Amino acid sequence: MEAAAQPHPLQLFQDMDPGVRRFLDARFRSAADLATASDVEAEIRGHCAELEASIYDLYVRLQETAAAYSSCCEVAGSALRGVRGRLGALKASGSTGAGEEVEVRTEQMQFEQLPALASEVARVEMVREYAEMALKLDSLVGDIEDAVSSSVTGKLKSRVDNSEETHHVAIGYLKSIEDLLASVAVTRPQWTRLLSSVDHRVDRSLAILRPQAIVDHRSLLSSLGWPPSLAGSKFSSINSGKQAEIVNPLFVMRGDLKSKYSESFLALCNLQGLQKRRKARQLKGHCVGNQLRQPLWVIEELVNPISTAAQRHFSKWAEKPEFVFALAYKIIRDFVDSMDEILQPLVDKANLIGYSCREEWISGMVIALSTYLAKEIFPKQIEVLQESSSSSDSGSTAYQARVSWLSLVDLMISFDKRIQDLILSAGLLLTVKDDDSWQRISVLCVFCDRPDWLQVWAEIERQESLNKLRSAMDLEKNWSTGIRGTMLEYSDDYKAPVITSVVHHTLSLLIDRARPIPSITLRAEFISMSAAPIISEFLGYMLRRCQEAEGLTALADDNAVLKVSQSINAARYFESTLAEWCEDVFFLEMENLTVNGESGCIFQQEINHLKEFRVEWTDKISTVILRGFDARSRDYLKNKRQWLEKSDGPAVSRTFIESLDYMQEQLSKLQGGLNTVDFVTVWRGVASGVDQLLFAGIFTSGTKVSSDGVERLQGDLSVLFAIFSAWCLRPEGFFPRLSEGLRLLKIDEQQLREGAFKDKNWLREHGIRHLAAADTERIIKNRVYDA
Amino acid sequence: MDGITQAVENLKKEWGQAVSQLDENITAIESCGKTGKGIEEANSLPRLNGSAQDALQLLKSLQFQLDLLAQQLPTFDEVQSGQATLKSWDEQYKKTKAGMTSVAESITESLRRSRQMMVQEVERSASTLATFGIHFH
Repeated sequence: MEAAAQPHPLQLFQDMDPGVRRFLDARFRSAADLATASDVEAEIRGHCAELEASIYDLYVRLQETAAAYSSCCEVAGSALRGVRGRLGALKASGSTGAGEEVEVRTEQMQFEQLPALASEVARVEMVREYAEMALKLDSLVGDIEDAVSSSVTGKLKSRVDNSEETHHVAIGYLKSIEDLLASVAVTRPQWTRLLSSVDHRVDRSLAILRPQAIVDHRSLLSSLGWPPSLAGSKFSSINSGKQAEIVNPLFVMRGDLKSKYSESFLALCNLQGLQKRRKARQLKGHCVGNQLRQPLWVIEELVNPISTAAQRHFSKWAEKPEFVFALAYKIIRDFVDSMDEILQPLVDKANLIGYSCREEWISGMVIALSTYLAKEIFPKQIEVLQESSSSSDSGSTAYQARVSWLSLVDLMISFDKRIQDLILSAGLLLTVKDDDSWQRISVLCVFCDRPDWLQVWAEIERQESLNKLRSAMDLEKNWSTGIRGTMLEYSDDYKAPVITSVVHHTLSLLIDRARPIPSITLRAEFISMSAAPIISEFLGYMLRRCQEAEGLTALADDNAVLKVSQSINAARYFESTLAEWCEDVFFLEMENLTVNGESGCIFQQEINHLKEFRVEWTDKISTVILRGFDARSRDYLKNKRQWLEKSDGPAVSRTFIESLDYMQEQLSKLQGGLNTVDFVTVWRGVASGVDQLLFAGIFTSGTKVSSDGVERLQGDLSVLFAIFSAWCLRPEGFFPRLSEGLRLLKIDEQQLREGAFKDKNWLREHGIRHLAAADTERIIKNRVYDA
Repeated sequence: MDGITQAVENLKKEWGQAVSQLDENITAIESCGKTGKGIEEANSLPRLNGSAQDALQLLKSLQFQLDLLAQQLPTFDEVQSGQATLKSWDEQYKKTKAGMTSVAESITESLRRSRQMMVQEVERSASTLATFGIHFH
């Protein structure tokens, strides 16, 4: 046991730490020290507890130290990175350091604030500009208002005639401010409030200045002796044809009055020019077109008083409108030259571009006259017409009323013609007739404001034309062919009856009546209401004429066919004539009006009806001939045996010759009576009908045909084709079924194969294209070949 | 060549020439009022319109002749071809007529603008003279 225990302590002793060994050596020097072993244990345990507490403290301190270290690392890293960056920058720029850095930062800050600063400066500048402009405009407006006010007070204070000078001062200020406003409108369009407020004040000044200038102008005109006395234009004077001269104050004014008038004239022109400029500026961007145009104020001031004076004379001639037009024309003509010689230079001096005093004078007087007609003359005419149409005794009274109306319109048309001559004599542009400029120089513009009066006129014209036409249509001799129509390449003439020239003349007169109407829309309406119904009436008359002929004899009579032919020729003539008219610009421009409703020319409906009439009655004529041919062909078609007999008889069947003679006779007579184009339609219709008739009677009726029969049929058909060769080069083309049926019969028996009639390619190779398969089969099966 | 075939070929040549002539007329009419020479152009308008009308009548005549000849051509294919040509001619005639109508619509507007151009030209001349006057002073 002891030997075993001994190695154990040695082993333990060898593994002891040297420190622990020294500790134990100090405590256990002798065997007696073993009794204190528990004390030693207690000491050791105390040491352990102290050590553990010490370890915990160290752990806490370690954590705190680590945290502090971490933040120190970050600060150090950041500082190091800063240093590194600066070193890099320093290396890159070669700069010496801090001073430039500060400068760069300052510049950057300034750069960032620069846009805002610039914007602020610009805004301040804009406000300054606005304020300056507002002050300037206010000052100018103040000048204008002072000038206008001094003009008024000047008038009140004294009778000194300084109004022209005052006007010119005010107008000068107005021009200055307008120049400024035009400039602002272009360069500062956003200053709309400033512009409108200034415009408002200027408009108020103009509202005072213009009437005052006009009053002064009228006063001057009165001093000059305008309007001149029209006493020389008395009833006896005009009636006798003696032209009393009217004194022209414009030609005789002299000295101080002349210069005053010129100044006043210029003042008004300048005001109008200013007004025109202002309107153009204010309406810029809107499609105004001609709406800016106003009559010349100075000419209006001449027109108004003289037209008022003239109307006192007009009212005396309520029953003599020709005197009204004569006096109006005389006034216009007597003063028109002074417009050119005296006033035009003043207008040019005022720079009023685009105004002709001559045209303005004529236009003003024409409008005054048309206004008088609309107020005084036309209402009475309408009243008389209505009374005459409603009264029981409507015969002569109504007629007189219509004659009176037409006479009035004649006077208007004649007046307009003379007026246009006055304008043309001065070399002004009249060929450029757009509706607007035309209506200013035409008394017919009355109808533009009162289209219901145009309708009355159109209705009267239509009725008068129709009355004349009916008596012409009732004359039988007028339905004979007596005139040549328009020469056309494919037709020597229309063979139109004489009545067509009467109708043509009537229509032409109505269209000529429409030409002076100064409006495309109204011209179209007038023609639609007056001329188009004439065509419809004529067509209706022809229809009744044809139906009467048909009813009596079913068109079997030559005379009946002649009547129908005449009507067809007339329809063809007018169809071509109307179509040709509608290719003229006068009618083409009406096609674009929505008033027409449906598309096409203004006579499209009438042209369509004429065409329908022609087609219907050419078809009837073809049918009648076919019916006669069919009746005469019964025996020929009934004889089935002839297609199997030997051909010992005549070359052509006797019964067939009779039918052919009838057809040839009918067509030859028609050729003499019908126009070429419609005659072609008729004979082609007959050919088509004969093609079907004979094909059905011979080829598809179960008839057996031998080789001799084929030879006979070929002979018969060659005679048929020969008749039509009078009107075409290759008549077979118009008999496709007969031609192909014969071709099929002539095919050699060896070429026929079983089921060949079902092979479309085989049939096409043999020229068979128009025959149905069933017909082809029947024809082949009925072919009898020699045994 | 077959006589009828030759006649049809001649018709086609005539048609081409007539259409070209009519196109030139329509173009000339359309240009009325666009160069500012209102008087000259307005005076030439009736002559141009009359010439266009003659060309339209000729087209109608050629259509009628082709309609009659096409049926007489020797072969079926030629007949079909002739009828197809006739159909295309009908379409071309309608389009040409439509061109005339639209031209008429533009004429009035062109002539009105022509008048306005003259007025503007006068204004420019006046302005030039005014400027010249200022410089002269």
